[in-house]
Amino acid sequence: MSEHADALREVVALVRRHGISTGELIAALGESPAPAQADSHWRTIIVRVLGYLGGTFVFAGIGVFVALQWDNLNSTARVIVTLGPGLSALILALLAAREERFNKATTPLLLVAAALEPTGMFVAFEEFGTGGDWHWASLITTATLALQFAAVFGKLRRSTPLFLVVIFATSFLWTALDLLDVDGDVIALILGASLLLAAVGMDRSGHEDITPLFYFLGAIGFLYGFFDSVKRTPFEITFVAVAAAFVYLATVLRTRTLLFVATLAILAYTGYFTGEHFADSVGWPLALIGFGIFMIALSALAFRIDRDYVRRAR
Amino acid sequence: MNAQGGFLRNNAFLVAAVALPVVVVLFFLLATAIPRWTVPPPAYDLVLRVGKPYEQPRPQVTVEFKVDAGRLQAIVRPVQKDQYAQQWALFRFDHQTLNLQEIPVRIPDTLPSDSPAQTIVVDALAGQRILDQAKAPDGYEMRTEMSRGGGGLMGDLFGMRGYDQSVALVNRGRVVKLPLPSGYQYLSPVNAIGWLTDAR
Repeated sequence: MSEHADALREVVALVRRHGISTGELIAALGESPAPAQADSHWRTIIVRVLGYLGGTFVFAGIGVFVALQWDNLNSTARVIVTLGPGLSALILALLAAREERFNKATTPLLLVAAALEPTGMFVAFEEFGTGGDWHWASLITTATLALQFAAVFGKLRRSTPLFLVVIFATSFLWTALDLLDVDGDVIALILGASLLLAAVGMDRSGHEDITPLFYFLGAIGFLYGFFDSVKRTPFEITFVAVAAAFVYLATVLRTRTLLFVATLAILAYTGYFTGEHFADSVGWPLALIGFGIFMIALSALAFRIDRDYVRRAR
Repeated sequence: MNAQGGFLRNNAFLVAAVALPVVVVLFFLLATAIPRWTVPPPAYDLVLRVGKPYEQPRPQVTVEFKVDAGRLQAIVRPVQKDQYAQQWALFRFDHQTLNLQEIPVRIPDTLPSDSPAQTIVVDALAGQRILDQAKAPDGYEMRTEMSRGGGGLMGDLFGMRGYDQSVALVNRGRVVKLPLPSGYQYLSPVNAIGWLTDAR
């Protein structure tokens, strides 16, 4: 009986976390909903669509009003009109998370706050600043927002604030490295590796719904930085080894995004290599044919890896 | 009292959803209204130059405006071959009507290529003293801003298409917009020359 109750509790928790409606649940269980439930399902969809559309138009209206009036506003009014709605959205998100019936408003409100708060802070720096290096304004803004959303994540334990923490922390790190005049390739390597590690950590802590973007950006950043570091050096060929290591990593971490980027990197390098060394020779057409066959073989291999290792494990 | 407290606690989100935007709007209105109550309107006329649109055939002379001992002068030089010289129009911002008037300047159309620079006094401002400083004695200064509105579908839909330029006088939060004449609103450079302090 206890096992049954536990299972039910888990189902309810999953349903709430992913915002699954009763109609969707019934459809997934293979049962056809009663006519009243079907009506209710459609009503929910219509209400939700109209709500989103209404919200979008209200938001657009405020945005256009601000844009049209911007030239007539003084510095204080400019800060209030950008930072004010951002802070309001954040407070509303925290309140919405406390109440079951407004729970779904939390994510859009957090995203609105994440867009408006940095805008407001940058406007404040622009209006009240006395010039100077833009890096410092960016560092203060991104650090403040990373800390703020970390605190929100600590309270809500949701994926959205965690996503925003990673975005603002990455922006902070990027700006800091740029301020220290670190080479662009090294920045790409560091940020790529950081994002990948953050994505692995999030995967293991039950926030796998937000990791594909970080796997994608992290892998592209790391591979781009690595390629630019070894390009036209005796170590250039190690890029293929690193890309292959990413294929292995994709199977270990069970992520299709990483597999996609790694496969693309191997293909891109092969194209670059043949173009670099065989472009002006008679072997170029043959190299193109060989490259085409290799591409087909690699895509088939990627498909098999996905089917046999990534998808099966999920 | 308890029932009221309970209602607020139970509907905190709804209460905040209404109250917070109202608070923001209130602060916004105060921030725009207070400078209008506390800062007096501009008390001095501003002389400014505005870049004219591209002209064809090319102008044969260049004009540079200069304030010398409180008097405005136009320094005219012949244009070197294959050069295009930006032409300027002179405007006066009237602080009483809050409008711009073009100031006529008699500039010769051509000068011999080896001619030295000619200094022409701007008759329309003769006898008036110009302070060539960024801030007027009453604290106002000119602010120019370029805005690049979003083009495409969204720009068309919300009327934010194309480039625009705004020029305003600002002082401790009070903003007085300068109405640029048609043909000068977009990418014409605008520079303040000085403030007219005493009219004879």
